[in-house]
Amino acid sequence: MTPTPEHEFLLAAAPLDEVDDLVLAELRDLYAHHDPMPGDLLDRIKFSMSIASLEAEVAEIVSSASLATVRGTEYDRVETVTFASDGLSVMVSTEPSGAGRADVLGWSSEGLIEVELRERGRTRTTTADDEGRFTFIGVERGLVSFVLRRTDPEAPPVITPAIEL
Amino acid sequence: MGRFDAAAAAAEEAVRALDGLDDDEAHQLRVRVDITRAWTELEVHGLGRALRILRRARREARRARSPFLEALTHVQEGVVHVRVGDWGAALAALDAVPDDAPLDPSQRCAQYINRGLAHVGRADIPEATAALETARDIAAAHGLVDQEFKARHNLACLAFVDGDLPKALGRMREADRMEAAVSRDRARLDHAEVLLEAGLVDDARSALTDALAHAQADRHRLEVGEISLRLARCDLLAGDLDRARSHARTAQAVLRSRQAEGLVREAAMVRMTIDVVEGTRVESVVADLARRNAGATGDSPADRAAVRLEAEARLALGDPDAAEARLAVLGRGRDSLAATLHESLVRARIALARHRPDDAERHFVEGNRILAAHQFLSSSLDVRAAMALHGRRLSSSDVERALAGGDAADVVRTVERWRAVSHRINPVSAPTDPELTDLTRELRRLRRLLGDSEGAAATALAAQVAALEPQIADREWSLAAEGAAAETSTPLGADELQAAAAAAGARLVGLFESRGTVHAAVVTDRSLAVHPLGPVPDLVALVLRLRRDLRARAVLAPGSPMAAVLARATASSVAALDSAFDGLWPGDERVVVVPSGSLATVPWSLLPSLRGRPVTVAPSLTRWVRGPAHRASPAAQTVRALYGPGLVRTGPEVRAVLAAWHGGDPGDRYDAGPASSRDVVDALGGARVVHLAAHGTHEVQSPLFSSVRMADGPVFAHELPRPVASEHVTLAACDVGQFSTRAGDEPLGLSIALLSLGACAVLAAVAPVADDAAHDAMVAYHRTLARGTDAAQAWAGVVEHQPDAGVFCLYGSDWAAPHPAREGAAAGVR
Repeated sequence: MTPTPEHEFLLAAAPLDEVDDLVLAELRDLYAHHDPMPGDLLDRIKFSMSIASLEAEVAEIVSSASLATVRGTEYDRVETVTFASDGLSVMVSTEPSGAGRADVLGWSSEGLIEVELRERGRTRTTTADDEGRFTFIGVERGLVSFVLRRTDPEAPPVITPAIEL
Repeated sequence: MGRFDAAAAAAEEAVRALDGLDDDEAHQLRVRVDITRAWTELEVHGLGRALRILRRARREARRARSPFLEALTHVQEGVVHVRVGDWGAALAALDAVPDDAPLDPSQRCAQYINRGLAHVGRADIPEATAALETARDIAAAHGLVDQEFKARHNLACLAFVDGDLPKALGRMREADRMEAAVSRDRARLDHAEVLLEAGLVDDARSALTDALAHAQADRHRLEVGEISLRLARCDLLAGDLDRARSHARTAQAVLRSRQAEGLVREAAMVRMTIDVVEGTRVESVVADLARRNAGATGDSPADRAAVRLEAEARLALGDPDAAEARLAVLGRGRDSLAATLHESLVRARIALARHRPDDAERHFVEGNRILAAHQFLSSSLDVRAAMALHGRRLSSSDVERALAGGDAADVVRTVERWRAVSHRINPVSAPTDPELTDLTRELRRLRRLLGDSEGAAATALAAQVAALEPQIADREWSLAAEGAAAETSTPLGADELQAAAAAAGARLVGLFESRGTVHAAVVTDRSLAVHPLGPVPDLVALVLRLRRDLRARAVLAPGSPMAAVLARATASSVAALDSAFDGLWPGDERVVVVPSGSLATVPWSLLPSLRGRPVTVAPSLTRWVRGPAHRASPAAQTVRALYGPGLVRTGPEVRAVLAAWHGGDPGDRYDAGPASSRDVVDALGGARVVHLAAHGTHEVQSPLFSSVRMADGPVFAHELPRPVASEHVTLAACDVGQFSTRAGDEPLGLSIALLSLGACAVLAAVAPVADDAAHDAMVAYHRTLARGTDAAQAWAGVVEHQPDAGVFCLYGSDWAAPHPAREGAAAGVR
């Protein structure tokens, strides 16, 4: 005897209706309350996918605070982050550049490397000069990360964790 | 309240209510309503309708045999004509009011105020003064606060027309404090006008932009037109021709819709000025102005401006004879600084077109003298610097003339003529202003609280700081110079500079910009030369790159893997910048550099080609030669050394500096802790040498708010004593050697302010400075200085051994301690 399909199987095969919407909404509220999604989860997923697709090394943040022993209060506010990975060090610093934007100034321990700036909706690329300086002008504030491609073709690219500009 | 639509509707309603009533009272009431509504009609529908209503009211007043109401119609007609800038018509209307008209004090005030305004418009100072003072006195005698406010504010406008900007700004502030229930919109426009004349174009623009937003929201069309007109003039002065054209176009359209012909003509003048500066449509400008100026007597400032512009346009078409003939009608008249300098420019260019360079130079020299004389009226460093903006076109033309002539001596003399004119004036002196003192004290308190706050409290404090800073600037702008103390000195010529170079064994290098290129004028005892160095943007990029490297280096955490990278990057930036000055200072003699505005942050002592050589950075060569000499009566307390909070090495540094001058062991000296702002001001007002070790900040946008941080908060350039008694000041802090320049190459900053106020020489840094490096360098410097070595030489020796200290440089003139160590009076550590 062929068993009669269970009621829920029938329901599952049917298109979503108002009751489904309600139940899903309640479930979402429940999780949002008791076990919310981490705010940076999407960025982390994207970041992991980038590492996977680039076969990149991940740089670590070496220091993010300026230990200002200089005679100017302004330097307490300078936002500077240093990354390091596999013998490559990179420091980026920001300067305000109009409403909601910043200029990104960088120095890397190797000259002539290719630097890619990943913003939310776009990427920009530049090449560091002989002394490792690079600049991105008028970057929209928010999370950005950098991908650094070294001149040695054997060296894997290095990706930095996302930082808030 | 300024709600013209509502007022017009209410007047309509009043007229309807009176419809059908035929008694005397109703007639008279109708006349009064018409007189009142003429004002709103002007705003809502324009001049024609306002005048028609007034004519009707006058007929009715005569019919009702009311001399009172008839006089009122004339007063109101005068008011309306003043509003649209038709001074002649306004005076005719106001003169029609009989002396014995039965007006009440308030109406008499209106009559005199508007008569005064019409005379102000025609620059007739005695008549305007008499009318406005009469209005002020009547208002004061009858307790008419609103009228008194207007009369006083207009007396401020009169000081402005008379060329006394500090007095104008001061009177405007006083009037503004009155508790009058008068809309302040007009007063704000006038204030912006004064700021513009002072060359404070950014401040004027910001005040006007605010006013424009309000006027647009309230649909005050006439006001929108007038504000746009003034914005166009701001843009023109700042050299932004595209924006000027757009604002002038708006102004013309709006003002035409209100039939404000006087103002429409002014807007047309601005548009034609843009055309002439740009060299577009010059033929049609000449045709339009020829029509306008036919038979002009050159009486009013507007007529005179039109005549000058026509002359400039004719010159641009290659007809100097016609240009000169046009100027001949001007004769002598009262003109603003901007107008006078424009005339000098046109006359100089006419002479150049006729190949009479000596005549041309005479006009340039005269324009320069007039500019300096105006700067000298103010004791505000801001206003002195800002005024140079009016000389921008004149100085560019003069320098281009000299460069084209190819005579190095002439180039040197010409560049020097326009360089930091405000620094040729003797040190700024003015009585201490209690209000300025109170305001800066409050700012210090707020800034200090702000430094310790976070979140909402910090936001609220930041808003309070933002509101207070313009008040301080405004107060400073209204300070007049003390007459006897200030005189302008003439700039030095090439021969005198060569003699000074020989006497000091120095090579003098003046860097200047012309048509987008940086040039160097080099003076030695035997030679004069001018070299082009390269495009301004290229040099600016090199300076910016070095500056960024230095800043990044300063914030490196100890042990950072980036230390070597940044050391390499900095060295390459320094080398690249040095090569831009290649060949300017061969040999090993001392060097005096006068940087152009774009090179304000160059650390000269850091350049390899200057390392170990005595270098002095001066606002101008004239200032370097004629800088304030040693004081006739040495201050009682010869050396003060003070330090601010928050740094480890400053206390020991201050003790060692005092030990250097007075002997003994630094460790023995009593340390009372970080000094207060009061201590700093006192030290600068009395001690011969002042050493300050503290956190420093240079404010690029508002250089007179640059500061060093003391125990009770920052000490601002705004509150330095006038004059500064100290001959030599060392600022062992970050950045405060930097200066900002507005158009006109007038430098402003903390070190530059000290020089303007009378210090002979200032040692300061243009970049971040590490606490320990500053300590070592400063102690070594003061030890050498105390032995009698001159400042530039002493510093060169320090940098030779501590190259990183090259971010400091000596500014001003050369200086040496007149009484080498050991004989100074006791000075305690603070």
